[in-house]
Amino acid sequence: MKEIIAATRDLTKIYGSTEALVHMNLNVKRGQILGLIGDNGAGKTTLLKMLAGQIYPTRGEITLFGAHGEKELEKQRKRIGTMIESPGFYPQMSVEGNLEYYRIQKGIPGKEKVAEILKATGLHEKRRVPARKLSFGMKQRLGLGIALMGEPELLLLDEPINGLDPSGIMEIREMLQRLSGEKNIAVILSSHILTELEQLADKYCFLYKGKVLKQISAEDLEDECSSYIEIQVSDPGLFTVRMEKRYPEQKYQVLPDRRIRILGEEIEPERFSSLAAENGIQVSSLAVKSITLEEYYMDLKRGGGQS
Amino acid sequence: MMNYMRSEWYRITHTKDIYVFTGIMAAGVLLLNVGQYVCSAVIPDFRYSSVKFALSFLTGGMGALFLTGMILAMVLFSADQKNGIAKNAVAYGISREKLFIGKCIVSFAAALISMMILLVLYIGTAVLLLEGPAQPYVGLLLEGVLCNLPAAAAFMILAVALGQFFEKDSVAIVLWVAVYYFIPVATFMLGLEIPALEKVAKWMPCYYLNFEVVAGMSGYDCLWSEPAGAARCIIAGVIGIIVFLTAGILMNRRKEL
Repeated sequence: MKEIIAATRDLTKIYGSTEALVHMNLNVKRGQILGLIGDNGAGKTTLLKMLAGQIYPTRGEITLFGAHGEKELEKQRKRIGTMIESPGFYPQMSVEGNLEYYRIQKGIPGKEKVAEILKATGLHEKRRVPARKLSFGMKQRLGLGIALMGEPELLLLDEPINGLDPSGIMEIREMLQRLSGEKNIAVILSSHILTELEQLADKYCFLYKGKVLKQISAEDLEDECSSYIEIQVSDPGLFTVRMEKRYPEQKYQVLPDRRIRILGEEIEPERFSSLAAENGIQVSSLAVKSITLEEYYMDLKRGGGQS
Repeated sequence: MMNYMRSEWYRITHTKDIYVFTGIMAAGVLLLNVGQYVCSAVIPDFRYSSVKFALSFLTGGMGALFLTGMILAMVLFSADQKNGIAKNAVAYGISREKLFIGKCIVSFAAALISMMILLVLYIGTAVLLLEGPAQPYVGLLLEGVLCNLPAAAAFMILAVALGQFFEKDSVAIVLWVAVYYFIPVATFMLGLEIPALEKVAKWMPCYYLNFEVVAGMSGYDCLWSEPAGAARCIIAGVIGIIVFLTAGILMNRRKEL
């Protein structure tokens, strides 16, 4: 069983009358990549900032590497790498200078570490360029480089692939997968690019307006998203009653426009078209589909629970 | 904290800010002394081309030390919040208190080096180019700088504290001016009615530097010439360091970034 390196219990942050994050319970294990999914204002950045100690929780507790309490957390944060909101660097300093600044700050011996990071982030050719002159994507790379300085055991990344070109996205994805796989680094990252998260994360946390909608492992999500039948019928109420009677274990969701999503593995469309015909229910359409991460999130947002 | 201070020192010495600041100040100092020298060469009977007059600017205006200290602190650290540097430092396990104290130490060290260069230039060009005896004016100036150094450090700490707490530099500067100038003036005014406040005002640098120091062509009368006056400057400075350091720690310890 892998060690839990970051955990929150009942973590809550309230600004005035606004609940930025409420009752967040979370466990992140070593080597795990947790994807935070949510709209703007869902609480993703608030969570990352609390974990990084940049803001204080209104209630609840944070545990990092088994330690909690402000002073202990401060010590443990030396084992963390972050890029939250925007990459933090001195614009007038060169790329190399910024990395050297953080190398000294983190107490990492050996200047060769800077060269390693420059190579890993693809910034070697830009090492003498002032950070302010970098493109947006290059600045993101520098931010990631700073986060990676000192071989962190936990990475907190807020929209790390924002502004990167396709090859940059691929490189960062491969780098994070390598860090997680080979070096057992845990990563908590948020992204609006859900297709990217889908390829990276092994656990997801769906947030909406400061509340956790669902936490699910990638395997479970795959099961839930694997495939489904979407059937449009003349009388969804009657159809679901008949379906529950004949197939009591069958999971389904009622969608707008008289559509019903029938979930589960190895489901046969014929069974449901026959069921409709037997009960005099007209079928307008029937198709086998699979749920994308975006659809899954939108369903959660709409409150589409599964029976 | 040592690593943080070392990284800041690396940053300060590898960016232009401190050099530009010192360069501009040095240009001002040179302009002052060389200007007087040139004037003495072209204007017959020019009375002001003397070491006594040249050094009276800083001896009689020690407040300049405080002001330049504040400006330097702002120059060195104003970008910290805007660029997310402070956020990163906290995320890497440096407490807000250590961040603040580290900034105070590093900025004071940078200011001290910058000041020493400027003093050498200021006194050196005055003695080399201008007329009249160097003593006791050089001695009074150096004594004044030494006696007022703790207070200058205190007001630099105040600038760092305000700069770290307020996102806008303008707010920090206005509050700094209020603490340095308006509060002593208000205390002095109220002291005209309430004697206890007058005693308090006498310990404020703005008060004693304005009312108890005279330097110019007519002569020098410096508070720090007497041991009691020198002690007052030093004690006031030490009290200032304690007060502003405590205030800075309290202000910034729960600051959200």
